[in-house]
Parts: sequence; structure tokens; C-alpha cells
Amino acid sequence: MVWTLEYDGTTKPIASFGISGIKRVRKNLLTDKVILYVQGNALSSLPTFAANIPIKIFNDGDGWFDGIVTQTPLHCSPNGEAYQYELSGVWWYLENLIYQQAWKEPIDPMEDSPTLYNVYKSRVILGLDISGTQLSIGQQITDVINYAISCGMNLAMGDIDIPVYIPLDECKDLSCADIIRRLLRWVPDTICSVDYGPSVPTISFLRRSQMPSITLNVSSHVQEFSIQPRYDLQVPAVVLKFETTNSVNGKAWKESVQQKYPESCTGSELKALVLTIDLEGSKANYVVQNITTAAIETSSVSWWQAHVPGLTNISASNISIGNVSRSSTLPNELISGTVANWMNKTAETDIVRCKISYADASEAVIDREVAVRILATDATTGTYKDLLSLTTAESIPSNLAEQIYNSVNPLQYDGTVVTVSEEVSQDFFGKTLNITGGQSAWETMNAVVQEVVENLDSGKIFIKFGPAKHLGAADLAELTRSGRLLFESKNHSERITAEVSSNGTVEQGIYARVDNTSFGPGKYKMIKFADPNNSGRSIQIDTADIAVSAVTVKLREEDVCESGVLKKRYSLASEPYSP
Amino acid sequence: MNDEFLTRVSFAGVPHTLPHSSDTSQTTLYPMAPNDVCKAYWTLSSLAVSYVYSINGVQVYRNFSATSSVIPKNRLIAPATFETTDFDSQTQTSYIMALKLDEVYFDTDDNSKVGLKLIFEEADSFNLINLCLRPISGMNNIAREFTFLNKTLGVYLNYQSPSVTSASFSSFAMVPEFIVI
Repeated sequence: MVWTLEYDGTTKPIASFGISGIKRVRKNLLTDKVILYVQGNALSSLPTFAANIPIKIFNDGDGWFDGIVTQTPLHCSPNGEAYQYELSGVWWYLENLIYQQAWKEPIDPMEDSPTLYNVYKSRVILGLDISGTQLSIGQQITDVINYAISCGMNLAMGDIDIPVYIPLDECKDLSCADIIRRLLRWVPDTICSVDYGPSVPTISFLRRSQMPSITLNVSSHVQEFSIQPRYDLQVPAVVLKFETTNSVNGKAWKESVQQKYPESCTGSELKALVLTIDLEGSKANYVVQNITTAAIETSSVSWWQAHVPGLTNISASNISIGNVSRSSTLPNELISGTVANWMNKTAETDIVRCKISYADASEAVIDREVAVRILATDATTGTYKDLLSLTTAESIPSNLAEQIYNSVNPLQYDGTVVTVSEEVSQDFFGKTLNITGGQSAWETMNAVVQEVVENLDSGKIFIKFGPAKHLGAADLAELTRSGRLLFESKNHSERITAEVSSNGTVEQGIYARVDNTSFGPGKYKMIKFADPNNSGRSIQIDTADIAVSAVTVKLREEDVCESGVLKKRYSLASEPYSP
Repeated sequence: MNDEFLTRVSFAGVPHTLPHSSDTSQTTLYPMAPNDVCKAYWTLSSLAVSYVYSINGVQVYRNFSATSSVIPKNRLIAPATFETTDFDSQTQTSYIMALKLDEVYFDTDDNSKVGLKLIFEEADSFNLINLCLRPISGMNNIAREFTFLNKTLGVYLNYQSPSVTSASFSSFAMVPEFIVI
């Protein structure tokens, strides 16, 4: 095998750099590292490899590592001086890049339907894309990786198939690596591996059942090993209790939905994984308006009496209605409440006119023009309701209990293996391990390799397998943290619509009842003035007293003498007529 | 003090029942404002006349008056009349003064011009002199002016020549008195 190293645009055999003691350490969901040493006069010379400079290592021309120099400690001892170089793989970039998501914000929030644009924020909602579509863990991780690539990271997306949907998870200011770890808590049997073979490192996420397996024989190259079945980590049942708090017009209530696997479980089994998960509930605000209407009956005397106060005390039988006209054709009149646009009803001012003739003890009027301004509408008496604002409830992830169960229920084997050979040729990382030559159960244990340390000089490979402790699958308490650390997302609709949750704006009714009566010039037949304190004293002007057919009685000027002084006055008198 | 009253009147300020004549040639107090006629009709209580003249060296002093007892309210149906007639045996002269309020005169084209009939005359039985409100044709005269009811009038001492060798007309006054209401 020919090992070469590319640094600063130059590719040379590793030996030409004076390198020794190369060791590659790969851990699940942690940064791959390569440790190497350059012997020499380190006290007086600068490091061979400068910090933050990319380095690639090839094995027979195939990529073996791709990263940057992150640490360059100097070691001095009686045996000599050496620079130690620590190279970090692509995960280092993910650890140092804060994940951001696009959120919608209005260009002009004062507009009724403002134009929205994307703003990247480090407040993120996991499990939801900008269009409001829920994302599976696989899709969300892909989005994180694509975000890192968009930020200039030299990385390609490889295999990922985790169609597991989780509750929306809102968090902020987390690195891409933290986000991925947070997501994979729900499926702790997942391994992240980077393939440095292609020209661009390719990152893959595979679950235990999806990983290729590799088999070791205890009598071939295995120097030492330890192994134990982890019955203690097996979970007999997974019960998820989703709790949502819904509200309508501020009145809230809790709603609980339970998801469990297997179906026959109760959650009270020993070691059963029971998680309470808060989901954002639906919020609805309605505007309610009660209105009362009545038919507009312009030919009805009682209708006119109800609208013209002056007619109230007149007997209906003494009132006659004629020449009715309206400015609207709508059938009803608004009595109480208001008509708003959201009711999808029409309302308009209606001027209803007629000529009324009536007679009572005080006056007798013929053809008096009366106008009533009312609010005509096609609405009818009832309660109108309209949805003012609605935030839909967060949907419950389907089959999540089953997915968690499949991840934590199968028996895991925990242990280490050390192999020694002339060359480090086998790649164990990203695979499941079976061991032959021992107990038969080991041959199909499919133990997940969590860590591989390869020492090129000695040909020794250290393999650690078992459940992913750093993901919390090691014990039940850690598993329940998945639920305890999760809070309901309260802003997911804001991300999509740019609308902060609110009660909405109540649109006020714009049409309210109008009551405005106008009397036109009437033609009085008789007017009678009466002393309220003495009914016997009254003044009555009655056209019936004019015996002739055509004569007008009106104020007329006349001469008078007032105590010897000539003056004028007006007096009510008729024009002369022939008797 | 008399009671206040109010009554409908004609344009001339007098009761409609009072005769209204358009023959203004018959009146000596013309044109008068209707208000002055109204005031005289309803509130005039007395009329005093005084004058002095001399004929052929004989000086004559006259001072007499006319009074009405008709109170204003009653004048609606009974016009007041101011009239005095007498005979002076020394001078063989008779005289008359009368303000007749039982008829008014008006201009048919202009109702703001109305008038009353005032009569004043003194004459001797020989027809040598005549003292009246107009000059007499064929006689000499001495004229004087006086103001009565806001109206300036002329009064004339007419006399015959050569029978009257000397004549003078030194003063003339006609003073109304009104009822205060």
C-alpha cells in the first residue's frame, strides 16, 4: 500500500514528510480525527502543517481522510522532539456551523397581504419545512447537510433513509452537529459515517437494519475482545402520550392521544419507555355577531307607527298609507346588531318614503310625506360566526412509537475488539459486526460499530460496538430525555406565514341600525292646541270650518291704533269670498 | 289717565266706520301724516285759540277753546267734535272754530296723505272784515302762519277798503291738548 498526503496543493508520500505514528479515530456522530507525528528539530522549526489548512490522505490513490489541521501540539522529551498534528474530518465543520432556517417575514407588515421574503434565523423548527410540510428525520438531516454545503462545506450527501416523523422541535443557536444528534435521539440505532473515497467526502446515515455487516473470526487477527449482550437495554414497550392544548376564543382544553407499540402493551410494563410529548394545539378565534332583522312591510300601518314616533298614539284605523317608495330592494331591516363584511350579507341604507294621512284629536293631516332611513339587508335573524384566525394543531407523528421500539427493543451487544494485521485494510466503521468462532449468537448479533481506531504503524484496529451511548440509548433514563427536552413548537406557523400567533383582528360591523325619521311638509286639515292644565281652553284651526270650497285663511297685515298711535299688526284672516 | 286700548283702524288711523272722503278740496288740514290724524282722532282733548287784530283803531282780543268729553275708547263709535261758536255784540262780530273728526279725507293715489276738516272764521255783520283760513277775493288781507297738528297753516285777516282805513293782525295761535295714556 502506498500512502500519500496532499497538503497545500502538493501530494507526496507520507514518508517524505517525516510522518510517523498515524492513527485514525472515528466515532459515531463525532469528529473523525487523524493523529500523526513529525519527528525532528521541533524546538527551532515551525510546524510542517499549519493550522486550518486542508489535508487529504490517500491509500493507493483512494481517499482515506479529508480534513483540516486543528491542533499542532509540540512534544519534547529526552527521546526527542516531535510535532503532533491533529486533523479533523468533515464533522468538525458541522460542529462549528450554526444551523439556520429560512423564516418568512413581511416586507411591509402594514399591508393587508404583505409580500414575504426569506430571513435566515438560528431559531429553528425541526420537522417542518418553509412551506409547512412536515419533514422526516431523514429529510431534516438532509436539509441540515444541504445547508452546510450551501455555506461552502466540501461535502456530499450519501445514503439516508430514516422516514421517521417526530414532533416539531423548536430550538435555537445549535450547530449542525447538535441538530443531527438531537434528531437521532429518536432513532439511536443510526450511525453516521463519512466515506472519504470519492473526491468529495460523502456522509451517510444508516440505521442498524440498513448497515452492511462484517464478520470477524476470533481466531483470525483478533488479538483480544470483550462482549456482552445488553438485555438490560431492551425496552418491552414504547408508549407516547401526546398532549395538545387547543383553544377557541381563549377557552382552552387539553387533548391527549396515546400511541404505543406493540399495540397490546399498556405502558405499565417494567422498563416500558413512556414519553409525554407536548404538541402545539389548534388555536381558533371566531367572531360572533347576533343580529335581529324584521321584514320591511311598507304597506303596514303598524310598521310605519313603529318607525314614526308621532304616529304611535294615533289609532291605526285613522291612518292611511300611500305612494310608498324605497331606495333599496333588500327584504329585511336590521333591528339590532351590526352587519359586517365577513357575514357575506349585503346591507345598505334604505330611504323609505310614503304619504301618510291621519287624524287624531290634535291634528288632521292629509298626504304628509314621511321618510324613514333604515338599514336594509338580506341577512335574517340569527347568530353569525366567522373564523377570525386559526392555527392548526401540530399533527401527531405516525408510527413514532413503533420506530422507537424498533430502534431500542432488539438485543444489543456491547463490547470491543482489537485486531492486528500487517495492513489496515478492512473498514469496520458504518457497519454491523458479527463474530464467528465463538458463541452462535455472536454470528448474527449485528452489533453496531460505534468507534474505530486504526493505527497504521502497528496495523492494530480497535473496534467498539454496541448501543450509541452518546445518543442516550444506554439506559431508560436517557431515552426519556428525548421527550423531556422537547417542548412544543409555538412558532411553526410564524415561520411559514410570518404571522405571529394572535387573536387576529376583529372586523367591526360596518352597518348598524339607522333610525331617522323625516316629516315632509304635511297638509294639515285641523290643528288643535289645548292647555294641558285646562282641557276647556283650546285653540282649534280646522279647515272644515271654512264653508266655501276655495278660500285661504292666512296672516294678513292690518292697521291698528294702539293707545292713540297708529301701528300695524298681522292677523289671521281669510281672503274675501262670496258667501 | 285713560286706559290703554287697541283697535283696528283704517289706513288713516281712524275707525273703519268713519266716513273716508276722497274730496280733499273740502279739507283745510291736508296733507297730514296718518299717524298725526290717528293721534288727533283718538287723544285730542281740547283745542284753544287765541288771536289779536285791530280794525280802524279798535283792537280785538279773542281767546276761546273747544273741548270733547268723549274718552278715547268710545271714539271707536262716537267721534269727538271740537266746536265753538259765539257773537261779539260790541263789534257785531260772530266767530266759529270747529275741528270735525267725523270724517277724514285721503288721496286716492297716495294713502299716506290724509286730512281733517278744520273750520275757523270770524266775520262782522257789515261784511267789512273776515278772518278765516283763506284769502277772500276782492278784499285786502293780512296773513299770518301758525302750526297745528304738525301742519303749518295760513290764517288771513280780510277787510274791505276804503271802509277799513287801518288794520293789523298781530298774533294767532291754535294749541291742541292731548289725553295722556
